Amino acid sequence: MTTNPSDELGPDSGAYVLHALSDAENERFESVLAGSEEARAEVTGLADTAVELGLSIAPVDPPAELRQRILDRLSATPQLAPLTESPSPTVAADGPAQARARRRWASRPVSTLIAVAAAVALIFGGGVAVTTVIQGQQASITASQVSRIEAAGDSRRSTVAVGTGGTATLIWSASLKRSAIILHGIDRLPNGKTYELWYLDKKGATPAGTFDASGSPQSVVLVGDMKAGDSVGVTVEPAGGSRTPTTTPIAVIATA
Amino acid sequence: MTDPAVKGRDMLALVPRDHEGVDAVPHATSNEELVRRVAAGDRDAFAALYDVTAPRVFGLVKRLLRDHAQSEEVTQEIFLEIWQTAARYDPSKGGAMAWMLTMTHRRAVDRVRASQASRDRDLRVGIRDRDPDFDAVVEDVEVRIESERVKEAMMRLTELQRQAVQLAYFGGYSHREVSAMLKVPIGTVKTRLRDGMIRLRDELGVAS
Repeated sequence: MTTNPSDELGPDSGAYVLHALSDAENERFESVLAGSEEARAEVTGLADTAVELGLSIAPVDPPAELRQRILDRLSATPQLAPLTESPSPTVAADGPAQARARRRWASRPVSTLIAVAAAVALIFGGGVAVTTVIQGQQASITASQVSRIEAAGDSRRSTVAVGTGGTATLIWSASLKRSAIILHGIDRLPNGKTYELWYLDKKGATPAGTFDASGSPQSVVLVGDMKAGDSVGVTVEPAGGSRTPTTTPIAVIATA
Repeated sequence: MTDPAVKGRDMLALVPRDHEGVDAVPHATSNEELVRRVAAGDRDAFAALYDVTAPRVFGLVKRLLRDHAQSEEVTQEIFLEIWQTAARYDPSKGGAMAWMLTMTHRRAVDRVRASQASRDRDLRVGIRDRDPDFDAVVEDVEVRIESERVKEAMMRLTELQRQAVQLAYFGGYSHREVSAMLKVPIGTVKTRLRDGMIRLRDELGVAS
């Protein structure tokens, strides 16, 4: 499907978030952004999408000595002060706010530090007018919950065999209190049966949603908060699910 | 291996006990909180942030630069920039990891563009019908995407959209380079990049 950008916006938004524009085009596009809410909305969504691409790449442990080298440099590296003015929740049409937005977006500043900071600020650091756009999108961003869990700094994963065939991989983040399970090669169940997920602790099992095998691999985000130390179990239950497990679990994944 | 606990009959018995003293909550602090503390000059928080995010940052940098020594240098630049600009990060506008990965991609691409290798690459792209880099990049990218979701979403793109997005994001190529590689006008590349990213956004359920 092709969508037609407005004349003002032009086709540069994709190349912009992929950092594929020339410096001159980058400047031009940022000045478009400063004046167009439509452009900012589009760029915000596409920038988040680019982050998803970044998260799809396998992490690689850097050499151990790099950590110390960086820590040793901190003393000689001054920190920037926070932006003094707090962002307004509404789009400012004129006055100092607009001037500030223009400063932030208009041109490629002199030092590398500021240049990169400006690009980042555009999306995250807050130009005045960006606020509403991005806040509005917070809700829809949560749609990609699996990626969010994977992206969390404390994201962990564990894979077990499923008793009836296939594998189950749990991805969880203690800080987000969220987990998702990725199933490979599990059986389709007969009519009248469903898979049910459980958070397990010493007191028992809390229902965490049901699902039907609908392809492989299949990802399911668990319902409810995960507590530290909870395990996750999968059982086969009557259609609609049960309040407590009625069968022996086909998989249990420990997170502690 | 099936978890031995699966053999148990009683759900209560399935609850795993202590696993050799492994901390159940290795990083109870969110990245966002760590960045907030880094902004206040907290070096321990910075070290903790480094520990949880460096593999993602380094993995992406290495994907773009290939060269190990340069990847280390750029990773260092990125983390020092995080230290410098942490006060400008606003958690209400996105996760800390997203903030950091956006910065990471920008920095890695800047390095690609600045390096001699890039200028050599331009020359090759200009004079060859189909640069070997191109096939290598696209093939490599297709193999290495770890996330099934992203892989599947990628397959929903047209071939030209997919190639353009992959070359730009994972290869760090400018639209001019992508244009030369794919033998299509720059305007077409821009349109494909935009349409491709919009399609990915919709397939991945990202936003708007």
